Amino acid sequence: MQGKHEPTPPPKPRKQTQGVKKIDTIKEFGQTDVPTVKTNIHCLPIIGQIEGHLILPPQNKTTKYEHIIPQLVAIEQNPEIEGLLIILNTVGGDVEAGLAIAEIIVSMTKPTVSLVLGGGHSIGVPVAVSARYSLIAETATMTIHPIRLSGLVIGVPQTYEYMDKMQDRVIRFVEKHSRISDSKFRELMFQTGELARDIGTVLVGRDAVEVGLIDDVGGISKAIKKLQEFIKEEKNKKGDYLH
Amino acid sequence: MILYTPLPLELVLMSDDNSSPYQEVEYNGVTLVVQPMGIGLGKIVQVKSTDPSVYLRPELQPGQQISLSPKH
Repeated sequence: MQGKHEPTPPPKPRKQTQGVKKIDTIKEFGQTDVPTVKTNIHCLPIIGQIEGHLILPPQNKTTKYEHIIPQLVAIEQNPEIEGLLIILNTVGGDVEAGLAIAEIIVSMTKPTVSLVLGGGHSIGVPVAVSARYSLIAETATMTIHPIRLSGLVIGVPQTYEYMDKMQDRVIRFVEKHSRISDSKFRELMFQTGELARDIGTVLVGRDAVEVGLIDDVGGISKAIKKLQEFIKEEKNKKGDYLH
Repeated sequence: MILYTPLPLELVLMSDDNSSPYQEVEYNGVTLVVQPMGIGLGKIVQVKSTDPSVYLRPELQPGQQISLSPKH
């Protein structure tokens, strides 16, 4: 992407506004282009609803699964990218899309660190724990609650069994990739008296670390430091042939 | 499809108008969400990239107008 940022401007839309901007940068910085910083860490923001099988109505802010997966594939393949920071501020969304993203992140060889800012609710939980190291901001929250069914629900035992199965997929993933136990996660999920209109638990910052869901409380500095540590380890493992 | 979200489902799924005012375009190799402003013009609403340096490029700042000719 940066490769295109050379003295010769891309031949495309030369509009007057861009001409003016060029002159501005010459005047302000004495150069023809604003310096772009080469970065070996890419950042993947997961915001709003995670959108999967259905396109959600436009009032929803969404992160689309079909955008995220190819980006993760590209990051895994690009030798210039050495680490990935996943920033979460999501209200959950499609179970399958969320689990798909989480599975890809878990199976990446590049170091990954996730940072929950604001909120990482419901299906955001498996995505947060899928990174090699997970962080949560002190004020960020994570809501853990049971899965609900929408649309036509048939009142038969099979409906319950199906829902239980879907829930187990999430619980199993979270249990496998964090320090929390199956029983503790279920306990949080089915807690009563915590949420106003639902059963479940809200974990604020440190609570998520204490139950073993997230590795540490922290912000961007801790996240980048951890990534750099991982990148160094990775390089040592490979015999330090880069740089 | 199962939606796993703490938001009330009626809030997520409710809609009077299903058409989004935004359009997604590829511009100089970067995926952008733009609001069409007229023939061949669009205002940048969102940048979709994992490369943090893309967000520093002045021509890709949200609010900037870009031309939407289909060459790219």
